[in-house]
Amino acid sequence: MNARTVERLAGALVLVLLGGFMLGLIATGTYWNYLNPKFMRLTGAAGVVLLFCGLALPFDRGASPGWSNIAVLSVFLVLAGISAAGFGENTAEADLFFSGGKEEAQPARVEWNGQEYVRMNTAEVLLLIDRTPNATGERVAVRGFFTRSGDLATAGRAAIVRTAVVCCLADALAMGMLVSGDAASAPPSGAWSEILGTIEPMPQGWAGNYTVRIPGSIFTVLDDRYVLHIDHAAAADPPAMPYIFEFREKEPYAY
Amino acid sequence: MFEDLNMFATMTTAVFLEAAPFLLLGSLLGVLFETYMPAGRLERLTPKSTLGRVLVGVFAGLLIPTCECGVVSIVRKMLKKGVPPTTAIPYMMCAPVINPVVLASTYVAFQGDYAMLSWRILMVLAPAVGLGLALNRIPSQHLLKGGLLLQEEPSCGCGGACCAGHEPEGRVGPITILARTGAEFVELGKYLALGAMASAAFKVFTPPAAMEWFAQSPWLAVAGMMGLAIVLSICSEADAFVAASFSFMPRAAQAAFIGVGPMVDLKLIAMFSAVFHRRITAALVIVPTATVFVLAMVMQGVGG
Repeated sequence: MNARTVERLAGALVLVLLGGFMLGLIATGTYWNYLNPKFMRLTGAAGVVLLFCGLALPFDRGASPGWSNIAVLSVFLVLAGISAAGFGENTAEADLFFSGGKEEAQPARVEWNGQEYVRMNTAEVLLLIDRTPNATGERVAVRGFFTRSGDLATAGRAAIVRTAVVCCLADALAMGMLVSGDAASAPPSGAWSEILGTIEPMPQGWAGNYTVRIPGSIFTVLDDRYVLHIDHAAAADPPAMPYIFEFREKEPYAY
Repeated sequence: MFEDLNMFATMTTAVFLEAAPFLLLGSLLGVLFETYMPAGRLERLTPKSTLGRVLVGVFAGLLIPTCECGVVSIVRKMLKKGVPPTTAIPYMMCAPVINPVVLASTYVAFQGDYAMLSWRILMVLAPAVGLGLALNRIPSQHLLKGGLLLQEEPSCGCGGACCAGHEPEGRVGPITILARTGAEFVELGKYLALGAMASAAFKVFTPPAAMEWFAQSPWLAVAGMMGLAIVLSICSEADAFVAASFSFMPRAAQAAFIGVGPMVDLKLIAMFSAVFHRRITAALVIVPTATVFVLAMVMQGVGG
């Protein structure tokens, strides 16, 4: 076996491992930790093609994948392996992003104390505020986790947020609202809750750019005109996929 | 520390996985193009006038949409087959933006803001046309990195038509196509992986408050958002949503973010350096960056 053959075999192995990793993410249900599930078929198809490319590579004696290329992709595969193996070992707020499972569809509205609240995710609340001339008084039910990190801690405030992913984790943004009311002070940072709340104008002295670090997010978007006054809050399990992958502009919202 | 390493690994993996199918598709199309398109055929099909050739390149993305991750591979094969740089380079720069999917996502992200959409198109169009015209007199192959052509020739020097396992062009079977696609993917995948690692490192290890420092003046905001677009390496389909979220930044800075990102980012710079001659790589980085900055400042000036 000459050096060229070994190089082709090493290149083939890298391709097979890459293809296998892509298919493995789908098979194990952990795909959503990296990408929006709407791309799952695309990734699956690419994984299959990469497998075939890897199987074909040793047979093309003219091919020369290059040792440096193989080495860098091998480093990538090690990182991918670390990432996939580490899902169960994160702590604190990062923990919130690495749990999975499936859940049943929820009713579009929930009633509490004689009032109806429309279920939507935090990104949809921000969209609602954007397209509504005056969002004051809108009643919404949102799921998310409390955060008091960064500037929020300094100001003694809290926000309810969730991370939204359009394509992949690289574009992840934490989106949410500052919360007000007596119940806002109780839940610890990182606690998942379902909040039934009323959108209210931002109280005097609350405005400002709050820098909040949420693991995995480029940036945290908090509405700068309104707060969510908590009418009722209850501890909740994180959704099966804690990220927001879908945004709707009318009921039933993606929630 | 372990959490940061894990997040770095996850982010790197996410960026790579997002781009990999498009890089693979680009590699496959490039190999098919190289194998089955007779040399000079496409050159004969393109218009004779320089401007016509540039316009074909600019708007080809509407018919052959591709993202920035796959387009470099396709353009490399185009140039090797003699497609004039006046067409290939504008195609490479415009296709990731001037295509139906990205135009629609920009429109949605900025809630039907046609001005923002128009500025984005202009920021991509201007450097693409400029570079297309500037490269008019340079032969296609001269744009490519010197060693690349030799590297892809079979080691026996037969030109791919001897008995040592290379099938003559025209009788290439599916196994060879797959093998060549795989080899192409491994070669460009290295640069994708390096770009993904650099992007992930920035994202994980930079304090979030750093960006707010740039919001102090329009100059800084535009420069900061352009720098962010370059290091984050976000897909052109999603970058408008990220740009729109930086609501505390001037609109011109948001436009600069979505203008420069699809033409210049870390993974693209790495791929450019693998494929193109050093001076061309420099031009592909500097010209779009400078043009977008100037246009963004004009946008800021006119209140666009």
